[in-house]
Amino acid sequence: MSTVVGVVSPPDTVPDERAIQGLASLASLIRECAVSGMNRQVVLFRAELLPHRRSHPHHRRLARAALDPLLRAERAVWHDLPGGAVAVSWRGDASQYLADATAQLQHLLADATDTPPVTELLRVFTLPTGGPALLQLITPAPPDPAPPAPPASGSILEVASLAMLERHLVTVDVARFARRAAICRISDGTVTLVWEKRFLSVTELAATLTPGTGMTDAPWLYRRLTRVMDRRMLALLSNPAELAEAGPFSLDVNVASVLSPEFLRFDAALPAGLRGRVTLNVAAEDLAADLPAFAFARDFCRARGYRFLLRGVTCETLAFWYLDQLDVEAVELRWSPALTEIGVAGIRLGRAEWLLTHVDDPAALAWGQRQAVGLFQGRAIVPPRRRAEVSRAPQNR
Amino acid sequence: MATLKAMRVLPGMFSPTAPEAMAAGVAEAALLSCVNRAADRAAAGRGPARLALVLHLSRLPAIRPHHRRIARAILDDAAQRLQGDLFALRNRDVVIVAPPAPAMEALSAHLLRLFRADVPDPATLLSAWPAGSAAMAAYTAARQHNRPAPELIEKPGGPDAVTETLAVIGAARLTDLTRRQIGVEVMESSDASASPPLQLRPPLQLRPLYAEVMVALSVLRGRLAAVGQAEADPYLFRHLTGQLDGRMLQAVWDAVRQGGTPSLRLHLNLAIDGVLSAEFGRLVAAIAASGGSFGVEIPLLEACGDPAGFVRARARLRDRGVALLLDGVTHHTLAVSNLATLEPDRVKLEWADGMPVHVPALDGLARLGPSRVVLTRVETEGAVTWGLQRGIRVFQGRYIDAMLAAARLQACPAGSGCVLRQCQERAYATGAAGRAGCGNPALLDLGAPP
Repeated sequence: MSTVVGVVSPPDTVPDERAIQGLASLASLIRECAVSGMNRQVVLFRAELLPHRRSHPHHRRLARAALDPLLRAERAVWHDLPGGAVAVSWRGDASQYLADATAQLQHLLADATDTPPVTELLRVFTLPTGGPALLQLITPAPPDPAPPAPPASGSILEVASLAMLERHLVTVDVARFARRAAICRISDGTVTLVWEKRFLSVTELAATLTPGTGMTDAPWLYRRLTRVMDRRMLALLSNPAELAEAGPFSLDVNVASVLSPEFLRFDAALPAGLRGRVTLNVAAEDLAADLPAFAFARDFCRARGYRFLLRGVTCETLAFWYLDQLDVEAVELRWSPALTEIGVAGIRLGRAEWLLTHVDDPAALAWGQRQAVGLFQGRAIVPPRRRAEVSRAPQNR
Repeated sequence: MATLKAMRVLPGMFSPTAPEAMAAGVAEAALLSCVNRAADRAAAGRGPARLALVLHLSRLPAIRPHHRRIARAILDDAAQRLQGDLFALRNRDVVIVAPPAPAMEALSAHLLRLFRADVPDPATLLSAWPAGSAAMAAYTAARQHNRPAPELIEKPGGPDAVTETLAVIGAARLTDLTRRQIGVEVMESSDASASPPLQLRPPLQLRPLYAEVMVALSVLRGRLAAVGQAEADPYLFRHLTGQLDGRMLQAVWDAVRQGGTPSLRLHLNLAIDGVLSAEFGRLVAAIAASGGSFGVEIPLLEACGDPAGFVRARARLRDRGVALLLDGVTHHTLAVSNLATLEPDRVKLEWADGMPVHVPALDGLARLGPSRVVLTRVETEGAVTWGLQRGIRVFQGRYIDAMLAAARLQACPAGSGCVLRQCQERAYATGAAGRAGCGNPALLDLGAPP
């Protein structure tokens, strides 16, 4: 029997290339186990559960080092994962190595009173039965354009709590809420990673800063909050270290944010190698709010090499926009079974191409391919391996 | 590009005569020095000529902070790249002086493209002159004594602005904050002598169709600076107006219960939640019982922000026999969206000077059908004339208000001491205080003589 150990850590510790390879290799292993019945195990170290003051880069490095004993196990494989995650897999009995890793981690956190128990930080999975649960944890949550539902007993986001959230956002380290999702092109049966979508997890931010506050019932305040979050994200990405090894990526932004001083600083800090490889995702309702500002932002940014994507198009709003008139490079369409009755192949897109999101089951993928959709995002899409399966010695990390 | 004789700006050459004229600012003085050096070089035949490209942001009819910020960023980059000089003047114009190069042509093209959605003819925002030319000297001299343009609000207000605004609204009587404006159908007149004095040609008659009651931002602004801040953020503003729906529905319901059946069909601006509320159902029933009729105006942004909610609201309006108008539609929207898919009874299209030359918008108008359009914010006869030529028949705006007031004054037996402006302002009022002095409030209610 083999075992896999996963380390989920924030994004600034892991080069993107390795993360993509790691996710591909782990997803492939899960798939192979499911198909062949081959046994494997997974232990997931959930670094995102670490409290903020213990999630700095040196903490993460030490946590990753604590897992080194597991690499002595038979067929041990280390997988870096998107969002800074890492996974190590092995076959057979490695209970002693696992105990060593657990002990090291416990020692590392011995003086911490605000961390979850090690049993929560380290999650063990047995493949193939534990595959779906593991996949759920290692795949970045698909970005959800809809505000999260409030807890049944929670309060509604109000102006006062919005003001408090905004004040907190100025000082909080948003890096720990940064998430990524892979956007892939599928052509002739080949899956290619095209870019990563980077976003802040609103759900987790709100849960941390204003616990128990739901946002569904105050959608305009929620949208206002996204503007503030945009600017924090842009400030985060303006840090030269943040994008030093990044590949192509996209960002959810409001039009007003694209025209803000924060965007100009982000643009000035953008590494030369990423110029022309960044896509700005703007929401349909944001266009409706201010079309001249959108046109201004689009033409300004395009001259600097940015691409634009219209997001938030749904089955219900598909016929509303003359998409070819919006002059964007891509249109994001959220998957819904109702789309099967409509079809999009005949819709004029101009220079744009479709990106089908929330593709979490094979039916969605099959529909997209029949409709000549080129780009996909969702749990049913596994990013490709760029090299052979990644198996690295600890010193190479 | 104009080739004009080199000219130096001499002290006092264009000195202002107005006593309140300002001393030159730092950027203006630096530009003057730069232009004079260029003129000296040109006169002496020394060195390559430099080109001055002026971005006249002062000519933008509605300048916004991002116009200046982004233009400055673009021109800053260009100045560094081209080894040029940049001058940000007090009247908001920005000038770059640099060696003529293909990059300057590209820069002009980029700026023209950038502003095409903001002005009908972006070429009016750009001037390119040889830096030492008489034209540039004249421009520079004229800028030396410009007063600083008013500061732009760089950052829209935060949630606190909403809180303050709601507090002011909560403390005031709603009728003191609301205004009423009448929408009319313009029809050909068979009796030219019956037309109002401000008649359109050929003689046309105005038939009042509805009265829209709204919270007047102009009134709120007069009471609270924070409103301007909240208004600058469209999302906060939508939240703010959504908060007012309940109060508005309650106030109108109270008025109808007290026998205040509207003479014209009543139009209210509501958010989707307002339409789906119990208070709305109660008001619809009360208006129907009183023999009145009702229309609801939902902003396009609401419909785009909550498509599923909009469909539910539309179904409820249909079910209750209430007209649905889509509000806040601009010619930019017409160009990129198929408004018919939202199935409104009418679309309220905001007049803009750039609309007549905006071909995609005109195509959009033709697709939608002018008979489904209300042309709003009509402030000139030209706007009405253009609308009529395009087949639009329903109009709303201050020009229409003035025409209606003129018609009332002509017909009103109690109007001998009134002036047009008075009658117009009294017609806007929704409370008795605003109508004080009017001897014929029934005619105000009707909008125009029957």
